[in-house]
Amino acid sequence: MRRTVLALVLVTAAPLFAQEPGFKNVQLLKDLSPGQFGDSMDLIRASLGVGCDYCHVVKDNKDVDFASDAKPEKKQAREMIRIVLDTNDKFFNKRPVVTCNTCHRGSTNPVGLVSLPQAMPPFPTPERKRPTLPARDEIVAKYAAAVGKMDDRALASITMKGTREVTNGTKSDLEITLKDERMRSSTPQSTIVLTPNGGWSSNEAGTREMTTEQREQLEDQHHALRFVTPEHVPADARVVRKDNINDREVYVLQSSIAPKVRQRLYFDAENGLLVRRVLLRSLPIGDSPLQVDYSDYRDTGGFKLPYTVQLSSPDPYLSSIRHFSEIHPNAKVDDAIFVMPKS
Amino acid sequence: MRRLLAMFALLLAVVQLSAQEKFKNVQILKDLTPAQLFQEMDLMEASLGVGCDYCHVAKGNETDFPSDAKSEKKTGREMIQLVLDTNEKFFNKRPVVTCNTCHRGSTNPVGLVSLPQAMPVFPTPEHKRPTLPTRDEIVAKYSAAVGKVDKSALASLSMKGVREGSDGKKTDIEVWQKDGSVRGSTAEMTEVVTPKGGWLSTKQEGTKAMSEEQHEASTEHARDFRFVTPEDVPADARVVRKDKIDGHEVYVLQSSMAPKVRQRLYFDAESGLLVRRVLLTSTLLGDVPTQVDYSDYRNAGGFKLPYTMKLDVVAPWNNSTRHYSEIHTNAKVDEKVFEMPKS
Repeated sequence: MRRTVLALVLVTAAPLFAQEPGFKNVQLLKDLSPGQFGDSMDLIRASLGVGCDYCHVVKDNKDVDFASDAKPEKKQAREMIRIVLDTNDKFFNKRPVVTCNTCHRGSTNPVGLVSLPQAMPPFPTPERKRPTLPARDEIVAKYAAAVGKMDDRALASITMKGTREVTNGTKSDLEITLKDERMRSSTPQSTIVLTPNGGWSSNEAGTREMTTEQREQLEDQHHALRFVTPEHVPADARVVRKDNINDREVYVLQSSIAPKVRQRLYFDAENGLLVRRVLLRSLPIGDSPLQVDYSDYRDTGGFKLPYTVQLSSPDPYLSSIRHFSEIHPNAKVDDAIFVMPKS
Repeated sequence: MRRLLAMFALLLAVVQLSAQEKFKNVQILKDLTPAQLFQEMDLMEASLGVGCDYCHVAKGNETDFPSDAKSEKKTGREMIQLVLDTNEKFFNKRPVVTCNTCHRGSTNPVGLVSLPQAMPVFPTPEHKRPTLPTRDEIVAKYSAAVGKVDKSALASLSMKGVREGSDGKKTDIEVWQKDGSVRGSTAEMTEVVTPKGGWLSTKQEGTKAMSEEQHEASTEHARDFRFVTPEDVPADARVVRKDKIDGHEVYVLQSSMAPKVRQRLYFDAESGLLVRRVLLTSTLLGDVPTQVDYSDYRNAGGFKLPYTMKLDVVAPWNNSTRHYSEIHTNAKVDEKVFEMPKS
């Protein structure tokens, strides 16, 4: 479980990979970056509710021979990837509409048989009425009023302290520093630094530069975790629908924020606050979502910020909940903390 | 909704369809009998959780089935083609992928993986076939649970009770059964099915012989309510798995009953009693299930029979439950009750 090991690096003292792992014996999902390839594997994994070893040969519960075709499940998976690609090609104008999850829904066994007993269908079929939705500007204005006047410059350099809880329940103290495009995140066990030029990580096994896959993954996460201020809501965002999150009504704003990346922002209809952000990265076998849930908004020097931030990824090893106890905008940050120490 | 109206379904559900009536504008699901085409339509309705008018133009109580005016019908055709093509290309022409595989009772399939994801089980547990009792052991236990069944005593039966329709309406019923013939009646109607034919008598419409299709449908319906004794369990039934019904462990016995028809019998692992029977009829768009649940086993002349039988089918308006208050085995049944009265 390479990705597992990689993810554990973020919270434990597991050794880092010294070298960039090459992908061998890839037959269908070619022409993807390492990050996109890893995301595709996670989509398959999440859609079936299995671990890597469902398809890949694992020795002694740790060494994974990803290239091996020894397991019939891997052969089967290739056929299934082919179904997904062919069906989208033929019936959906090459858009990745049909995904693994469309049939699998988190299980290795799709359910073809209709369920019994059947309820009476609604008759006549209710007319689908588009609900009257507020305009994008109204929603953003309400959000701005709810959080107070945000000073975007004050957010350019920021320090935060708190705890991070990962999917298996492990909690660690966490300290995050953001300055311009740089990020430093540390727990008592490890430190990770991302800059526009690269990244490095450090733990008891030593300090190393990140591989491309690690960096892509962390950049995605880092990007997803940034605060979305009212100013950051894209001007061309469309109000696509009403929805419900934890029984509260929300308005959903959607926009394309990069080639093959769509963003959905969910604003609480009542209090106006941003409660969820979802980034959908389009892959050949479907959209890979990264979801961030915001709660516990508290005043932070004149405006409100969410002190609890939950990141959910198709890879549960990359998911976490952050509870901040302190957030200091406009912090004095020494540039030296982003420089990789010489060993 | 011709079918809905047609199925006033007092005692036996009857497809009211004249032999002359032709289906118009059928483009993909050709070469099917009317009953088979209805089965496919029912499968689609159940898979999407909709009524006929989701795709077909309905005006008041009239449905214009041949009309292609609704875009949903056009999409329906494309989706049928998707199912047929996929099964042909990837599943050796077996109807593995069905409407329900993606739709799961909703008009909106869910392609996006759900978040947050739970940790997958690692290592993947070995798929162990549970040790299952043999077919003979299961049948012997069933036999011991119900007592020695006198098949000749079951050859002629008279029963009284209440039939509860899918609308919740309760009607007193009386049923006579002798050899292959069944007569069921309520205060409103009488229906008789014999191996040679059948007739229907209502206050409004008088007495009429059944069409071939009505006879076929009524024969199947009568079959669904027949008792399955230990002797009726096919000798070649295979014990396919353990399952659970309402929290109770059951053993599932499967056998082929006819070309394209499989039967599954579910026996309570603890009490040994037969608790469910499912008939699966294989069609182009997948298996059509017919399910009967047995409960309230009570003594009926030396052995036990289920006094409650619940029938669930794909078209829910044909669901019904019979609660018998009296079952007389070895009953004197006059052959004359099956004869159609001369008007």
